[in-house]
Amino acid sequence: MIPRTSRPAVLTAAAVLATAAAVAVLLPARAWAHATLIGREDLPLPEWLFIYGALLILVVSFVGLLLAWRKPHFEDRPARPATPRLSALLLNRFTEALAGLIGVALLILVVWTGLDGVVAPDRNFSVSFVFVTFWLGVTAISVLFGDVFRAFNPWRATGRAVSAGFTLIAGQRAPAPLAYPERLGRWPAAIAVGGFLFLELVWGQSGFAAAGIEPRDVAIATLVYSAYTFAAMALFGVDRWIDRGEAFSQYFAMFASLAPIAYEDRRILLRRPLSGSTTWSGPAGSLALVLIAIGGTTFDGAQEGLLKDPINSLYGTLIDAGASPVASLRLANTLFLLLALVVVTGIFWAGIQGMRIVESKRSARELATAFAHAFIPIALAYIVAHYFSYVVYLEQAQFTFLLSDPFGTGDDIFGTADSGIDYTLLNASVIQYTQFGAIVIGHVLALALGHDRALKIWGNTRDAAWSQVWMLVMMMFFSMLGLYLLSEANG
Amino acid sequence: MADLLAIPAAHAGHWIPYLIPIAIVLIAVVVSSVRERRERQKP
Repeated sequence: MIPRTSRPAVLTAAAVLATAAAVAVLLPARAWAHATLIGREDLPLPEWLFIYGALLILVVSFVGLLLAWRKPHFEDRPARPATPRLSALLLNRFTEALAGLIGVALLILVVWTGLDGVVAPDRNFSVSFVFVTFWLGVTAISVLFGDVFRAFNPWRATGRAVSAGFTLIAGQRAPAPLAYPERLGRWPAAIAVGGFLFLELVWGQSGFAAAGIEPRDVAIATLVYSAYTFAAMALFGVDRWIDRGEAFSQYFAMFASLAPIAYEDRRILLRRPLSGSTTWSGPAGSLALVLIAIGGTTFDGAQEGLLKDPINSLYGTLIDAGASPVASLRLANTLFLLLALVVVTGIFWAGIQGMRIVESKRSARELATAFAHAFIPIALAYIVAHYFSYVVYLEQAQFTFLLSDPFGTGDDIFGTADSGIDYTLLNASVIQYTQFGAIVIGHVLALALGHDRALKIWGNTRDAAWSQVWMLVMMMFFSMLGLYLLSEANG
Repeated sequence: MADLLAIPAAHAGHWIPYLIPIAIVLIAVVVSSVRERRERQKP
């Protein structure tokens, strides 16, 4: 049974949604003809069905969680070790060294091709490798197989090799000169991820007089980030910096916390999917990291649709004010990227403040930290929905002609230089259902994680329900925002 | 700059269907939460 006091909000929400859906069905088709989800007239389902379908699934999931999920299922669940033989086979000195070498080799290849290859970004290995294979591909691998990037991390591998060399020569380990300030938490990583998004979405934006990102920019940014990372590791210690401040380690580890596999002391651990995320949000800056991840994808989706006209309008205003075309475009994009981050943070904080209407004993900061991990599936859902088809198409290039001809100078190392991208691999329906499925599943998983955490905090479904009704509102906002952005971007 | 406000208004036909259900649910949840808070504060 749903506790008596929690009935009104839950049932009112369900009733209102059902009524709105009924009204939507009765509306003339022309009212919905403005756009379909991905802007193609021949798609199997109308847009209203996606909107109300998603909202109804969320409400039904919410009610289902209240009725059937009476004790935490993700919290405090210890991982169990896989068979020792498998751990020994996959995690040993040789595989560690090999993974590190592969990571370092790829880092060198990115810098080398970026500096020495052709200027055209679509013919140079570095650009698609960094922004697609690395940024999006490693995210997907992390969700499925856990924190694999840690082994391949070129900065960690280099730092550990230097540290081992020092120990060998000096006969003692080199202590880190500074203790990492705990209050910094993941803030350096969150800020650097914001910097990466700026490079990709603002600096890399082409149009008007701006040329977009060039391979040389990627190479220089990689060198600058490498120097910064090596300096930070020298100050705070290799493992400490990797575990807190290194941007890509923290970004991929965030998604890896959802995976059913973890790694610890050369052991493979198996755990319930999503359960790893319950211990993720402790350090300061964790919430910022997940909100920046959502905000970045939100801006990227909005840049081509919802925000396209406002960005152009602001660009014109800045030009009229006397700014140069490139500076105007970058400034306009920067302001709207910040606006996207503010909107995403605003939805989150409004939901947390809503929770405090009933639960006033805990501070907003406490509640925000407690529920931050529930937003990781949303960040993942946004990424899958926005980049799924992009990755499928671009990876064909990455592993065929860009691999054979990484500099774009006419080489054919693996005999695949003449291959192209097969755009018929995905049709409109597959893309549409994948986008919709990602958004809905991501938000339902977020609801489940939030409900689980609420049960742990309050210990009873009544109080948990009053906090989670606000989580439901947040999920509705984020799912509608995601679907709307997709609709606008492709309309 | 006036364009910045005019653009969302011009697209209202598209975004309003997304916003209406959330707005209705939000109002329902706010009202219920406030009522629950008052209930709890009663001696």
